[in-house]
Amino acid sequence: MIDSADAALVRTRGADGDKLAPYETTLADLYLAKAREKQGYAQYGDAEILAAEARRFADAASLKAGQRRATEPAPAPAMSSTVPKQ
Amino acid sequence: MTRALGAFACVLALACASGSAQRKRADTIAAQIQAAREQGGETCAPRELATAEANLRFAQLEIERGDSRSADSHLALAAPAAREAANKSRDCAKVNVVVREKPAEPPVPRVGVRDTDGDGVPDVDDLCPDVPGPPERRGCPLFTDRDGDGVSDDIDRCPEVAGPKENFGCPWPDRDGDGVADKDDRCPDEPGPVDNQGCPWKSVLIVVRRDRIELKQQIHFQPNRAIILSDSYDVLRQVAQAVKDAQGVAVRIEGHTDNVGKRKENLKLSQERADAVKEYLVREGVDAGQLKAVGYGPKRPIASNATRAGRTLNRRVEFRIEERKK
Repeated sequence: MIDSADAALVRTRGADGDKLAPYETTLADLYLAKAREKQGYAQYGDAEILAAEARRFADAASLKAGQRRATEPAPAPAMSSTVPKQ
Repeated sequence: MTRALGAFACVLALACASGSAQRKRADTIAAQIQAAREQGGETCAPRELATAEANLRFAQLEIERGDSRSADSHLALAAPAAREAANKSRDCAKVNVVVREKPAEPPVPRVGVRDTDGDGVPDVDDLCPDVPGPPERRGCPLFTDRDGDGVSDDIDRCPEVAGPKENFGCPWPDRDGDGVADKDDRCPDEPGPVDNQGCPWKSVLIVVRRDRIELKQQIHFQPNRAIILSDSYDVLRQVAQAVKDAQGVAVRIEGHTDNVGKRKENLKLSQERADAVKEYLVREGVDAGQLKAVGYGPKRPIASNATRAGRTLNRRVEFRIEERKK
């Protein structure tokens, strides 16, 4: 479950979740860290519950990031400083 | 033993007191989080709110597990985060503005509208004011025909240019632009009049007789040499075509000269000229087996060699149809 949550969080970060869904991404990050800590103390039941929560938050962040990217206008292209070739 | 029991009881009492205090702290933080959330904390301070919520949840978990030290550290993280979230949310909360009096809108002037085509769509809104059409199409008929070729625009591949319906409303292509459409033009890449099926009139330079091919223009050579001049290429091409068209025919190419100069040299020159013509015809695709080149020199004049005009006539090439092969 921790691996699954970790993979979900990587996907979220790839989808720019830190910027587009910071609330959910932060929650996922903290829950995953806590799940790892619990696993380290061999409290596997708690670890699994926290990892499941982390996974849920990561998925929600991915979804939200995708929706926001679809609705937000594309950024204007950067002005080129080079002189075009004649 | 009594002492040990007493010590255990004291530790238990302290733990209970600590747990109770932690729960109170947790409740306070939860209230702050709730306030921040109501003020839009999720948008205004997402990271702070998330940090506060997560650490509060972890603290509660640790309190339940009896790990007060860990619970303490989570509460210590949750409290400032919750405060920060509440502060930030307060600053960016939505401001509601109430408009107490709304100014009355000025009356819209109403003007009598014209509707020339009487289709119920006033001319100002009608894209086709002279042709009736439904309002859904902004007053235009369902299918227009802008180029008037009888093919409505919805199926007309060239709606701006008139063309027959057989070509989907487009004009027939005419590559050479001679006014004869390619489909009727026998020479689509060469302009020509309509009454010659789009082909240019070409002067006919030869006449094929029963026993010879008559030339309307003599074949010209460089003086005293067997090199054909380019002005004779057209006539030779026509000869070649005629010979190719009659495959069962053998043709004798005869070279003739006037009587100026040595006879032997004239014979040689006439042979070489006949050979040059044969070579040209073969290059044009005539079967060499159909051709025979003979040089007669001055032996067969057709005019007097005493005059310049007569000598010109005597210097010539003739094509004789020898036989018909079976």
